[in-house]
Amino acid sequence: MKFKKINLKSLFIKLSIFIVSLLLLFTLLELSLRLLGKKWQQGRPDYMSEETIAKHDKIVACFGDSYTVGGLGTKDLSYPGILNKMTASDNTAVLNLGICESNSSQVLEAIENYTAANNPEAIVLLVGAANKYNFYGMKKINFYQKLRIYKMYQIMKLSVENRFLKKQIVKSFSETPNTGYYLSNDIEKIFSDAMQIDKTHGTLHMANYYISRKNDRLPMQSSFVSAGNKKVKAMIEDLSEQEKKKILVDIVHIYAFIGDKAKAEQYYRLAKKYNPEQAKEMFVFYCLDNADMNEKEKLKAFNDFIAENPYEGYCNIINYYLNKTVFIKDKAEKERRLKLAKNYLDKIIRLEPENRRTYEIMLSFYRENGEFEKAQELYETKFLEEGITTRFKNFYYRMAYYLIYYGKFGEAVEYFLKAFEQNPRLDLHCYYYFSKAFDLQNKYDAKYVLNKFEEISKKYPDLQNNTSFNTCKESFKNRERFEEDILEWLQADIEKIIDICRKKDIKLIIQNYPFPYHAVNNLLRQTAEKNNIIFIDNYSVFEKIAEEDGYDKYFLDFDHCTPEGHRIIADNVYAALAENKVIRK
Amino acid sequence: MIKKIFIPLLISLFFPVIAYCAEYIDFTLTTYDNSNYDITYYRKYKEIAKQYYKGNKLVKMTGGLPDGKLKLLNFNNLPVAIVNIKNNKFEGQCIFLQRKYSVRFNPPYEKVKSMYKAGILNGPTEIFNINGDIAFKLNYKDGALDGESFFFDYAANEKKVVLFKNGKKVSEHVSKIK
Repeated sequence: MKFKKINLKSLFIKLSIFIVSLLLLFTLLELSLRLLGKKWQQGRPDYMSEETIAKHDKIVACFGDSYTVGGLGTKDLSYPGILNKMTASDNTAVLNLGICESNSSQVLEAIENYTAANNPEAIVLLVGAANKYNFYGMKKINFYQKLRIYKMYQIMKLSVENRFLKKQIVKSFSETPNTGYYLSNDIEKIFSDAMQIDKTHGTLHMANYYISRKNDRLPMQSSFVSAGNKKVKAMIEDLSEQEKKKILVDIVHIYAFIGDKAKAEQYYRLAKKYNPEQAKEMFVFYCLDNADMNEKEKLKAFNDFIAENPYEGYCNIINYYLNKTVFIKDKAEKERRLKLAKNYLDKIIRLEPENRRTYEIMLSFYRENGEFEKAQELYETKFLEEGITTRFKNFYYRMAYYLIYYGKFGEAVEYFLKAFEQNPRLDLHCYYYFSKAFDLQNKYDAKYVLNKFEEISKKYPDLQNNTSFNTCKESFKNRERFEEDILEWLQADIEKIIDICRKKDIKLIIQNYPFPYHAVNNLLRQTAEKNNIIFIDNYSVFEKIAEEDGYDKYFLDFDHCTPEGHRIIADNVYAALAENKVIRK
Repeated sequence: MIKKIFIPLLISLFFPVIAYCAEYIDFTLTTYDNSNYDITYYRKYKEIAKQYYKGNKLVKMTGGLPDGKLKLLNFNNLPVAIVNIKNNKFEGQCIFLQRKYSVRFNPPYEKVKSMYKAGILNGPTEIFNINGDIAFKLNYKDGALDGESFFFDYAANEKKVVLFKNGKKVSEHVSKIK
């Protein structure tokens, strides 16, 4: 056997070229990102050149994260931008020196660098929320952490995580069945013995076994599907008319539930022959959403119903249009479905406004339409007070899942906690999504969750044996310890900023966040009070006005402010600046 | 020159992708010589994987399964079977579950609970329906129906009792469920 001699020199050259080209690529990327960042910064409406700044008597520098930058989509109307216009008469320039996702260490670094070369009259600070996920500076800062490529990687990672969670949520609503039956070779024997005792029901169990195995991802899946279907067909043919009447509708169910749309439809037609009344009812209630019929056919089936009972018929049509609408990607289709559902909803409200079913459908409508507040209100007034029906016992969970889908992680945590309070005996999956949602939000801290868990433990003493609940609780204890470290780190950084400002005789104004980042907001307040620093309590102001005027008026996404929100922060800062004689009114 | 630079670069970029995919390759664990059960799929039955995979490397199973209780979990960490093993065969109570759609919101499942002795059905076997009620109760002796077996018809509030002897039907009668 001949071996080709490896030329080490050539290999070394190739490898060197490869490494150099890789380094070159990363350098180019880093440079491009830095250039792009600078260009973006200069293109901002509130950007001021050195010459413009020099024309002013005083400078107020605003440092912080995306809140200071202007959040998502409102950069031209950031609070420093608005403040700059307000202080123009006093010839004071307000600079927006915020950088998205900056944590306290990065802001400290920025303040150190800025005050080394400049002498602002005052510094306005709004920082701390990003410390939860941006750990730059928490420990020793590595070289790579300062790179833009690293920052880009972190943003991409977070985005991928969000998308992944969203996909998982969608998947969890279209769960395929899975069976442990095939782990026993005796199952077929057991069911065939059951058929000897009661042919109809034994056959049903056997059919269920054959049908469900197809989704078991077995290597022989494809061959089993046809074999299983043939066996089911043969078993049914063997039944008497009376027996067929009993089980055909159930067979439709099984096929519909496992998502074999064509088979569900085929057996529905057969079931209709033997048991027309029940088949129609079952078809409408259970199979329609899964069966792959076209809309015209489905509506025809509903029309039969409407002729007999308009209210029930309309209810079914609405259910059909609302089914998992929230996950429909095609925006036009989603709107069309919701619009049609709304039309029929109006009809049932006119027909039977006080019927409990009407409320149920209204609740589904609000939920699928993303009107979560309305849905919750209706649920709490019409369902919780009158006792929960089985159908809606998992309302809070479902809402939490939907909220994760919408990227509203803070709210999702809130709903999960309500759900746990209602019934904490859940599979690990619910706790998994809860933990994931918690990690992607800033509204609640681990301490809050642990307190809730303690309350739940007291309410349900037997929970001490529940592994899912206890595992989750344990993980939150770890989180709590970690959050304490983060808060300590934040406090140390803020105290360093206070020192810098004192040494350079710069007035420092610390604000808290308008959004309920409870732990961070409390720490900012305490640190300011302890060090006798001017403090602006944005949260208290926003809590009050958001309750009066609605959340959407002041918050754009799930935490950042709208232009109106920024205007209010600007007003607050302006008042503090005037009060402390930084500016003249 | 372009080839020399970009092809290795492209290959290097694919490394993470390959590593990611490798984690999702399904492994098969069908090495049992006894015919009582076959267990497949590392991804599907995590519990088995935990026992037989160490550091993602397959540990050869020469002696079969260890004696004792074995819980098999699906993707969602929900049990699909809880079995007792003795000398590589089912022994005592074994439960097989058939989980259905949307397990998280409505947990309907059907369940078969059997008593085994040395891998052979021995004692009562219960088949539970979707509501968790017993639909059938079968009595086995050495793998064959023996003694009284029942079918519970909750809709009709009736219980059908069938008497078997060595697998053969002897008599049958229907009574009301008390």
